[in-house]
Amino acid sequence: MQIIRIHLALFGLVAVMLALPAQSEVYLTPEKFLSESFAGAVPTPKIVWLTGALAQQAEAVLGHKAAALRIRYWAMGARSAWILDEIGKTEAITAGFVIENQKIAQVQVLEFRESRGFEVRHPFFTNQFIGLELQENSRLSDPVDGISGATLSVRAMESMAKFSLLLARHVAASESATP
Amino acid sequence: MRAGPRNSALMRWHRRIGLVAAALIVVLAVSGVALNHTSELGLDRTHITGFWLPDWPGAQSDAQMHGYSVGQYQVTILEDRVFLDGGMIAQTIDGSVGAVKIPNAIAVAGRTEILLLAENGDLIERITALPTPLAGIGVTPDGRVAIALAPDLVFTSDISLLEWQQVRDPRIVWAATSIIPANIREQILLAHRGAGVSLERIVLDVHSGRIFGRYGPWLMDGAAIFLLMLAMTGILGWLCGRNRKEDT
Repeated sequence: MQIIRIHLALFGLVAVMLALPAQSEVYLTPEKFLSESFAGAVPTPKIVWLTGALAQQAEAVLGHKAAALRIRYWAMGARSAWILDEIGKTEAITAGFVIENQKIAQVQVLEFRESRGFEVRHPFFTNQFIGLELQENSRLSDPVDGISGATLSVRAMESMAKFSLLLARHVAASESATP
Repeated sequence: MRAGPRNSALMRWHRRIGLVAAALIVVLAVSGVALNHTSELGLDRTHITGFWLPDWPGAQSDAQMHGYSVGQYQVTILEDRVFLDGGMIAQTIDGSVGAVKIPNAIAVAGRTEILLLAENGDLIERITALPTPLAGIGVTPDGRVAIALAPDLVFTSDISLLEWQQVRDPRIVWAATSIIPANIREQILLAHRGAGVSLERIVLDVHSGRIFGRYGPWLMDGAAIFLLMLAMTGILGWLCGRNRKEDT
C-alpha cells in the first residue's frame, strides 16, 4: 500500500513538472537600467533603421540577419544606451549596453530566459566588456574570457556588445554628417 | 540459514529502492533498448501528427485561433504564433488582443507587447515600452495606434510608436476578431502542424526525461542514482551473506 502511495506521489511530481512554466528571470527592468544609465534624466527614445550597408554590417557582427528592421536607443551627448535581445541556445537574453565615445561604458543582463548560462549576468563577466571598442574587422578590441557551461550565452553577449558598438558608431557618424 | 541483522536491513532497503524506482527503471530500460534499435524499429521514419503533448509541433488544435481583418490582410494568431494571410511569420506573441493597419505597417497586440510588422511580414520592432496589460488595440483617424488597458484608460502613440499619451478620443476604431476564411484557416493549420514529430524524438525525450518538463532530466538522474544504489545494496548484501556463510 505504501509503495502505491509513493508511486502516486511520483506521478504527482511529474504532473507538477509538466505544469511548470519556462524559466525566466528579470534582473533589472529596462526603465531602471535607463534611469541608472542617465542618472534619472532619461532622454526621449530615438530610432535607427537597419537598412543598406548597416544591415550587412549588423549581419556580420551578429552572425545572422538582425531580428528587427529598427532598433530603439536613448542618447545624450556622447553617451547612448541600447537594449538588445539575442538568443543564447533557444531563448532570448535581454541585455543593456551603454556606449560612450565608441567604447562600452556599462553592461547589464536585464532578463535571462535560458535554463543554463545565467553566470553571464555577474560583474566578473560583464566587467570584461568595459572599455572595449569595435575594430574594423568586426571584432572586439580585446578578447572576453568565456565561462564553462555558458558558451552560447557568452557568445550572445559578445554579439550584442559588438552590435551596440556598431549601432553607436553609425549613429555618431550620421549625426556628424548632418549639418 | 538465517540472514544476519545487517544483511536483512540491507536487503530491506534493496527491496524498497527497487520497488520505488521500478516504474522509472522500466521506462529507462524500454526506451533505451528502443533507441539502440531505432533504424530496425523504424522509429526515425515514423512521424506522428496531432500529438497531444505540448512543445511539439502539431500539438495544438485550432480552438484558440483568433483572426483579424487588417485592411487587405488577414492576421491570425494561433497559440503564440502570428500568421499573415496564411503564412507563418517567425514571431511569437504573448496573447491575442488585436491587430490594426497603420500607414506602411501592421500593429499586432499581445498582452504586454506590440509587434510592428512591415506589410511583407518582416518584423520592424517588438515594442515592449508601453503601458500594459493591453485589453484592446485600435487606430485613430490620423493613423496612430491606440491601446486600451480598460474602457476608460486609453493611450495613443506618436507616429513612430515611441511614446504614449493618455487620451479621451471617441473616434478610435478598435480591432475586433473576424471570421477567418476557410482557405486561410486550412493553410494555417497545415503550416502549424508541419510534418509531425518523429517517434525517435518522442522516445529520446522519454528516455532523457525531457518529456516531463524542465525538471524531467533530474527525475531520470534520480532513477540512475536509484539504479546505482540497487547495485551497491545488492553487492553489499551478497558480500555480507558470503562472509556470514564463511564464519559459520
